[in-house]
Formats: sequence, C-alpha cells, structure tokens
Amino acid sequence: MNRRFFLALLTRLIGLGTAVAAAIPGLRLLLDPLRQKGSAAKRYRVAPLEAIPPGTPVRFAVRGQRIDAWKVFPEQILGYVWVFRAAESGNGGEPHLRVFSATCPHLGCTVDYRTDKSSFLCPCHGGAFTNTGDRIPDETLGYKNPAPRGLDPLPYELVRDETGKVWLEVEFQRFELNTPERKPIA
Amino acid sequence: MAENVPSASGLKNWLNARTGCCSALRWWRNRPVPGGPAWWKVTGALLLWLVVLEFVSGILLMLVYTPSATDAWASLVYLEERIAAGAVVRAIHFWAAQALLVVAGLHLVRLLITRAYRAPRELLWISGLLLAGLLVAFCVTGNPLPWSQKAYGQIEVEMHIIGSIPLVGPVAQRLLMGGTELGQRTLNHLYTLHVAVLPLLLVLFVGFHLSQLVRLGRSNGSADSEELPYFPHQSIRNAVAVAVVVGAVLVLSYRYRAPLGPPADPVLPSSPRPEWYFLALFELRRYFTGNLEFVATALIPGLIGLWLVLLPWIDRGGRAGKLISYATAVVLVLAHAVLTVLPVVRDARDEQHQAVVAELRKIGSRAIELAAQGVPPAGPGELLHRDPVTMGPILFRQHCTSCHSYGGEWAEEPKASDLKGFGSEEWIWGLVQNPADPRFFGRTKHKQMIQWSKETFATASDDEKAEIRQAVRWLATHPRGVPPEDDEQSEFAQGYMAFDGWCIECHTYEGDGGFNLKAPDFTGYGSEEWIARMIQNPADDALYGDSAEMPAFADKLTPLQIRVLARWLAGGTDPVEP
Ligand code: FES
Repeated sequence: MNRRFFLALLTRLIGLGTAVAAAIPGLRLLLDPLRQKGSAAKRYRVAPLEAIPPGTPVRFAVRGQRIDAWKVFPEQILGYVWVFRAAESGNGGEPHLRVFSATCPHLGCTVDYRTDKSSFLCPCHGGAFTNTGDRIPDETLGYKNPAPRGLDPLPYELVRDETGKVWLEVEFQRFELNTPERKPIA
Repeated sequence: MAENVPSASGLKNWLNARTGCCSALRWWRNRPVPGGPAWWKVTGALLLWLVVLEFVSGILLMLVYTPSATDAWASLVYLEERIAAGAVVRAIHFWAAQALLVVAGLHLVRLLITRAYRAPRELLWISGLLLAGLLVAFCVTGNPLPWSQKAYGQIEVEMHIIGSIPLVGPVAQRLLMGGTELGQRTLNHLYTLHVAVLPLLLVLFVGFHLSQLVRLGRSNGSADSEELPYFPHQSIRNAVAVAVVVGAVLVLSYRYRAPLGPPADPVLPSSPRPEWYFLALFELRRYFTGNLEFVATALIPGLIGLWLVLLPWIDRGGRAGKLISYATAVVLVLAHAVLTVLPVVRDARDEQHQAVVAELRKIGSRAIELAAQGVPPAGPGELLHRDPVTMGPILFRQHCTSCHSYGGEWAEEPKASDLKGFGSEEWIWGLVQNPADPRFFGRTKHKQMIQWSKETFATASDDEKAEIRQAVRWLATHPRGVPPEDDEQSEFAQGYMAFDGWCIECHTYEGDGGFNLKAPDFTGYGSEEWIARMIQNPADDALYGDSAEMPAFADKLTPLQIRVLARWLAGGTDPVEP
C-alpha cells in the first residue's frame, strides 16, 4: 500500500512537472500582446496652410507608413485631425491654430463638426466639445456628456518647404480612451 | 443531503451523481493491466500526450500564422523574430510531430509483434491504421503551410502524386488544390484540413480507439497476470516515458528552430526533397517512372495498407500466424530503413544538390533578416526581388555567365572579364598593369588598352607608376565633378590630375578628354549608375561605342533587375528602394 501511494505521488509530480515545463513557452506566447509597444508619437505633414480657412474647423487625414504586425503599408490613413484656425485679427501675424485628434476620447469614434451649433459632436453617443476642444458640461448640454475629457490636442508646427510653401505638420499620437486624464498609449 | 453541503467532497459527489465522471475515472484507474505493467506498453500513452501537445501548440500558432500566399511565410518570421517564445512554440509543434511519427512507428511494430490485431480487436486495429493515415494527412497538409520555397516544392510534387492515382486522382487533386494551380485556394484548403477537418476526425478516431481499448482490455502479450491496477503501476511508466519524450522535444525546441528557409518564389533555386518520413516513397518513385509511376505512388502504398488492414484475417493463428506478423514487421521496418537511407546517402554525395541546399539556406537567412523588419503588402517576394544580396548572384548566373566569370567561377567558357570586385582599386590596378590577363581583356577583342599598358609600363619610372596608381585610387572612388581651381592638394584633386596626365587622351571625364579615341567615360566609373548604364547599353557613345562586344540588356532585364544587378556588382547590399 505504501509503495502504491509513493508511485501515485510520483506519477502526479512527474505529470505536473512535464505539463508546467511544456506550458511555459505557450503562456509566454499567449501573453505576448501585453509586451508589445504602441507606436510612439510621430510627425506627419498634414496639409498646406492655405488649405485651412480661418473661422471653421477643417478635418484632415493623417497619412503615413503603417506597420500592422509584419506588414508595412507605405501609405495609409492613420487617423484624422481637426484643425481650427482662429480668424486673424491683424494681417501678417503668425496664424493661430488649434489641432485636435478627431478620435473621441469616450470610445474612439471620429467626431464631426456641427456648423449650426459651432461645436464638435460625436455621432456615437453624443460626446460634445466646444470650438476650443473643451468638454461641454452636462448642464449646458442638457444631457450627460459621455466624453470623460476634452478633445486631445496635438502639438504641431508650421514648416516652410524649399518652394516657400507653408505646411502644417502634426505630432500624431493615440491616447487611452475613456479616462479623465490624457495618457498616451504606449 | 450531501447535495446541499457546499464542501469540496460534496461538489464532487454531486458531480459524480449527475455525470458519473468520478466513478468512471476511478474505474479507469483501477482497471487491471492484463499481463502486468510493462515499459513497452507506454507507446499508446505517449502518442496520446504528444497529440495533446500538437493540439495546444497548434492552437497557439493559429494566433499568429496567417494562411495567405502573401502572408503565411511573413507571419511565421514575425512569430519567430518578434513574439516571445514564438520560435519555441513553433519548434515544439515541429519536434513533437517528429516524435509522434517515430512513436507511431514503434506502436505499430509493437502491435504487430504482439499480434494485437487478432479477434476480437480487428476494429481496434483498423481504427489505429486509420489514425496512422490521419497522421500522414496531417503531415501532407501541415508541411506546405509556411509557403516557403521548400514547402511549395514539396506540395507541388505531392499534388502531382495525388493526381497520378488511377481514376480518382485528377478529381481529388483539383479538389484539394482548389483549382488548376497551386495558390491561395490551395493554402486555404490545406489549412482548413489541417486545423479543422483532420483534428475533428482525429478526436473521433482516438475516441473510438480508446473506447474499444477499454471495452476489450488492453492487448496482452502473455496470459499470466498479477492483475495490478493501471494506476499507478502502468501510469508511473507512462509518466516517465512522457516526461522523457516531451522533455527531449522541449530541449530540441529551445535549441533548434523548426526549418523555414526562403519564401516560395519562382526565381529562387529549388531542389525539393520530401521530409524524412516520406523519403522511402520518394526513393520508390525512382524505380517506377513514366506510366508506371502510380506503382510507387499509389499501388505499393495501397497494397501495404490493404495487407495491414486484412492482417487480422490473414493471420490464422499458430506458428504460421506468428511468422506472418513477425515477417510483416521486419519487412516493413527494413524496407523503410533501406529506402530512406539510400536517397540520404545519394544526396550527401550529390554536390549540385548540396550546393542548392547551401544556397537556399543562405538566401533563407537573408530573407528572414530582411523580413524581420517588416514585409510589403505584396509579400516577401517583393522584398527579395529588391535585394542585391539575394538577386545579384541569381541574375548574374542567369544572364551574365555565358561570358563573364565571377571570382573565377560560374562561367564554363568565359569570353569576357571577371567581374568580382569590378571597379575596386585592386581590380582597376590589376587591369591597368596587365589588361591582357584573362581576368580583364585577355579574352576580348579590346586591344588598345593592352597596347597602352605594355608601352607605358615598359618605360615608366617609379614616380610615374605611383602617379598612375593615384589615378587608379581616384577612379575607384567612382569620381564625379572636377576639383575647384584652388584645390591642388586633396586626394581627389591629385587623382584628377593624375587622370589628366595619363588617361585623358582616350577616356572622357565630365565632358572632357577622349581626344585620341573614345574609350569608356570615367564619370562615376564603377558606381551603381555607371554599371547600370553599361548593362542597359554597352554600345552607348559614352561607354564602348561601336567597339562594344557585350549585347545590350535593356530589353532583356527589367529596370529593377538592372538596378539590383548593378548594385550587387558595385558591392552594395541595401535593397533597392521602390
Ligand atoms: S465614442 Fe464619442 S461619445 Fe461615445
């Protein structure tokens, strides 16, 4: 009986050991997505300044190389940005721009601009934002604004090329969705 | 009452009352091992657990592997190069498959020798043979999935074999291939079979096999029995055997990756061989060619299968039966061994085959190195076609070796210069000193340079030779532009002046020179662009003009091929940009 007990224990231990040893690489593969990094912020040439009229926001696609796992697409739409150029006061002054990611900070739909309301409105669950990208408070809106924060502003620069044309270049980036604070996805 | 008590044993009892699972398990464990436990009885359990390992590793591979003609290979490179333990998991799937085949062979031999097929176990035996057939089907459908050059070559041959089966062959081939040609639909069919249809059948047959095993008791070689319970007396042996084999699979998997090689591409060399377990059939085909091919590919395997299936009825017991079973085992093992060893030995001696294997290995690791950085949507072929390291030698041997040699090799009857190191300082200096050397103009009709060299070096002082050397060094930098007026000291200016002194009579440079006769232009000499122009049209006025012996390749090669070849000849290794 003792011998039988010992053999049974040994069988179980050997079986368990084998299973664990074989499972380790499998688990590492399974958990690999936790290890992969998001794409870092990168600068993209989005549009010539002359294509941005003052007063109303304009939406532009951000195009560039997209890497999807092993596939490298030389040119794809990576996302959209809204660009708002304030009506210029004087002439000759440096144009004042605001650039937002068009991705709704609630759950990631692409927000529209409503000229009639002069505000950004998300078609999915009604997230609403002012011209300046701020979250419109529930009281003003008359319903609960599902957006947890304002639109995500993106750093930009105006760059003059060899021919003298001025271009808008945007530092494009993605942020965690549905969080009050703004955290880049890394 | 027990059903309401929330305790572990209560739950167990309840589950057992509802499903009977625990008593089934207890019965399974306590059933006696007929003939007593033994080490040679571990093969069945080994097979079972190796199948489990294949299932689990296979499912994990499905997380990344993509059955697409443009993506399959690239997805595996990504798996192996970029994903934690990706290479190990794929290697486990590979090594466990090899182990599975070996153990299946041992299992078969064991059952043959113990004559385990005899009544009432005929169906158990036949279901086992069907399982063996399923294993073969798993191999045939699994090996091509990487869509590598080797895999593609193998499935091409296998499809041909299937097509050559009398009557059903052509239809089966088309159905399996998903049309008339190997391609995306073939891959989808193979994949569906490999990951859905075959596993389902396997589970079914294993289920039947095991249930019959339980019903009939395990086959026993001898009649005497101590009737020890299966658990733990046989289990401990099984556990040790599984631990050893799975351990070996793991060690192998950490040390050696599963083979991959370059992606399937018609421009790459190919000398496909089947996997080791199919080598015997491959060998058999050598003896039956032409119309008789089906004898090797269908008839003999079919007859062996039929013999095995009918064995329970062929073996009528007694000494004769014993003899039949032993003879079957011995003949099968020996024939398989001999037919496997023969082609292995022949291939080892076949230099040409070994050269192709070595080249494919080189191209494979280069392809993987490139693909690890990402693959264009059109697939890995595009990557290779732009790569001078891969395509340079291939294009050179296809188009240039009827005249040019490379490092003294590749050309059987060279008629022109040897292009290894073309445009390098060493190469040019060699030419200048002795153009009549067969490495340079010795095999051509270009005589002026030979003349010039002979005369010049016969009388040149050491200082003058040093000056010529300087021009050579300058030329090896693929020079462009003229030095500014006030520059007389720089390497470039010195070289330019040496050129001006020694070469300008015949050779042009930046629109100057060539007063005596028109020899090739030196602007950017030996650079990628210069070589590309030369390949396109050697009779260009700025190159050899009317005296060109080499034909123009502008129409024979694509612009991309010309750029790739030129970059390779110029010593460049970076892929050509789109
Ligand atoms: S995603 Fe925009 S409101 Fe929900």
